[in-house]
Amino acid sequence: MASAKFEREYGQHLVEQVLKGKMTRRQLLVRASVFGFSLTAAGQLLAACGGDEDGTEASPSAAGMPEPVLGGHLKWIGPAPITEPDPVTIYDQGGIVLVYQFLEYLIDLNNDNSLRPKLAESWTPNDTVDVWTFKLRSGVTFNDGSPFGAEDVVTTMERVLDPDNGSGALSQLNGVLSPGGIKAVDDLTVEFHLDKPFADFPYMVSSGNYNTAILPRTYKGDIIKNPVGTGPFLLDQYVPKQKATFKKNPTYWGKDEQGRQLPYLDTTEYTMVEDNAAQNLQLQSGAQDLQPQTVFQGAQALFQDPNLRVDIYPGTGIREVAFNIEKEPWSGASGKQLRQAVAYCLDRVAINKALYDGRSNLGFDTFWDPTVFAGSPAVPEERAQDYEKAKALLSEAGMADGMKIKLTFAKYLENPQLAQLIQEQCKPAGITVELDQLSYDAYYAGDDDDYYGTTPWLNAAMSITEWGSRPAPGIYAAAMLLPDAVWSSSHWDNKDFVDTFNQYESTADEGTRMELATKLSQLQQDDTPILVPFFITQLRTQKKNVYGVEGPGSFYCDLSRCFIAQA
Amino acid sequence: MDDHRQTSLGPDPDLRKEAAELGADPEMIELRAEAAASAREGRLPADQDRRDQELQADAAAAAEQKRQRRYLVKALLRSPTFMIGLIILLFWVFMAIFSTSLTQSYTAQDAMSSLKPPSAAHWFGTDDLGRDVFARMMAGARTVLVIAPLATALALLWGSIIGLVAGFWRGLTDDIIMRGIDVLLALPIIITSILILSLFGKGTAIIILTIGILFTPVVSRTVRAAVIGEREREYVLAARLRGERSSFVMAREILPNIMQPIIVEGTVRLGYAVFTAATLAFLGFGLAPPSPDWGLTIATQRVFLQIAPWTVLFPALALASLVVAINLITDGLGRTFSK
Repeated sequence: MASAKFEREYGQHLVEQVLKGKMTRRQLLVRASVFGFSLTAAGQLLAACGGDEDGTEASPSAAGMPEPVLGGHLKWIGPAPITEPDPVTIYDQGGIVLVYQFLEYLIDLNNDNSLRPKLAESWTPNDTVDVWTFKLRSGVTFNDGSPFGAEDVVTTMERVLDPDNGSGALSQLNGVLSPGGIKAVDDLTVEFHLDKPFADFPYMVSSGNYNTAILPRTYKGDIIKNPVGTGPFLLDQYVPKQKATFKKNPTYWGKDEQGRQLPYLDTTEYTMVEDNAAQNLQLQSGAQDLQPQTVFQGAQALFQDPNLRVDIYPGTGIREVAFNIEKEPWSGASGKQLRQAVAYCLDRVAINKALYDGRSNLGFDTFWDPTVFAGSPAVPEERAQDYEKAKALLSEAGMADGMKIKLTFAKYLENPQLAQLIQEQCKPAGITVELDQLSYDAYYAGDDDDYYGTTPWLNAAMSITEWGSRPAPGIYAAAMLLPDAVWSSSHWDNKDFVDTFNQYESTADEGTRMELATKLSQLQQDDTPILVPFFITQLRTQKKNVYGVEGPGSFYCDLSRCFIAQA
Repeated sequence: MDDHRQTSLGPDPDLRKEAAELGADPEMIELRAEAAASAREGRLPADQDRRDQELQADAAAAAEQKRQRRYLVKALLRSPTFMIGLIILLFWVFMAIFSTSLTQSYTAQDAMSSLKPPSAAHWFGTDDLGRDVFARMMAGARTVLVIAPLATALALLWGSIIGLVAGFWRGLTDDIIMRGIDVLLALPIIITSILILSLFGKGTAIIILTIGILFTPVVSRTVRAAVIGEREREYVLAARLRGERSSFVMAREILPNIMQPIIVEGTVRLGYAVFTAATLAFLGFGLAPPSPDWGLTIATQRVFLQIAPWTVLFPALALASLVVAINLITDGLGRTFSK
């Protein structure tokens, strides 16, 4: 394996990039972590860059954190799982937040999208970036007593790769890793043989791809009946649509920096309440300690509450406004102009203000956005509302008198508000937007016999789909912008983009990656298969004396280091 | 027809017994039946004087009806409950029709001034998308004032037909219809509406039909009770003795005489229909954004209750005022009718 040599050469390469000013220190840390550098090794690289700028980013709750208190009971609140959770297919916040109290990933994602070893201790690619070798943590046991090993990783990955299991993990892994590509070298070493080189691969087996949590090799699909995992807590009681209680896993492998046994808490109780306003009231009344995900709408009251602390994380979640390029009017030769025309109608600043109190980051219809993904090239054009341009594009496309379009979306979260903003902002350009609001179930319903099936979210002419955070632009692109992406609402198939993307993911050379990213960003923005008006900032609310809640950016919430300080 | 003349009491052999039980003058009934029978056969009435008398009596009855109607209208105009209710209702009807040309645009957004409290520029403040709450509150009257009255009208139409048939025929027909109605009455309105709307999709027409169907059983019960009270009256017996068709007796003889309870029932149902329509919109069935419908607005703005109560307060007040107005009207009508 190339590990030592690779690490030396790649480390040197990263340092050069920073010294040449082509990369920030923060980006160095992120990239080094993706390629399996330990924190110490990455720190040495930073030191080699000179200067005294601190590249690490503290978690918001880390500021002024007191000494951990051992023991205690945490009451937390959020939505109920939509169906009985199965880690292989789970996609909803209520389910994810529950099962990942007792399940773990190979790698965890930090706030700044850098990676942290969890069940994997280290990972390295070969020279061609298409074989990744993972060293697993030794001495870890599942909470039923059976030891954790390479076999569990292989069966877990094969399970999510089997198309018959309908795992959402495929949305990232499709075209990158195929069944049979995972080999157990020995009991604590696993090799991933990829279909094509993929420099962002470690993200795909991290908590950034939430269906890849490691299950025991004997898993039968009954996680609630047999809640077996390696995680810090044990599922004690599960009452559907009401609550779930957890107690400390006494045999958990994790220890903190001072060598104290994790988790700190003894027990937790998760209350299931669907309604956000009701959740917020419970927090304000003091009945609950923590709300892992706070929705912006109505959160103003929480910001004003003197007993609560709302942490703000730079999330990368989006509301994808997709144009289905196989449907009228986006399909024709002038479809691109029409898509751009809609893009120029949007007042992104106003949308951000209306939906997120101005706290989210603006998006400009490309994933390579340095504001949210450190180290991305500058956005080709910071698109702003420009009705003259929109009208010019419309007449260029032979639609000088305007056009009528239909926007399909689920009655879920802030989708209806976003749809109304788009509708109203399109009016002055002569674009009439008909709103087609479906129930959440109806929007995601439908068979998957065909490639895209009949489900509205993958087949409507224009749609809004909510995406949780993804850790890197390449992960987003692989999931929705490639012709073989299973979650592509736009059905976009741009050969230039696909070729460039494959080159981008097949090199570890950061300079080349930067050049290719610039091209990808241009292609995506110019062709505008989807609108990305913003990247949503994440909120988490807790009582002022609750600390150490981790796992932002996705629904996954790690309570192993959470503690309640004396009030 | 021949067997009808075998007994002078016309089509129903039980009629004589029934009439006697009610204490009507059997001789009179017989005479009128005879007159009806001879008129049908083209014979001249036996007594020209009697015919004149009857004509005079009819005219007097018509005059009396007119006088009563005038009296009712006057009494209603003098009833403060009725008048206050009517004024509020007419205000909302006016707003439903004309508000869009009187207020600011109810869809115009100004995200930069979202959730702003009431001011000179926005009398009732702005909502989460920076839209004028006053304009939306006024425009919101439209959906509910289309849905509720049309649904009520449908319920009254179907309910009256069913109630008339069941109450007039009695017997097995009544039993079968009313047991069916009992089953329908056992269904909870909101849950059944949600079921229907999820099955048959959304749209104003479906909502109107759904509420209309679900309110029909209650109306039909009220109408049936009124019909049972009327069907034993002399004028009904007389009409039946004349051999009028049942549908004629129901529609032309009984119906006009039970209009008062039907009108009262209609206003009661109207109030409930407003509530049901608002509830369904609140639950997200049928109406979708950017409709300014009150129920929908309350549902979407509810999350801002703590920080921007005006976004919820005003549509809620509007809804309450409309329901109260309709209840006042119901009250006024009921009191006047019972005088």
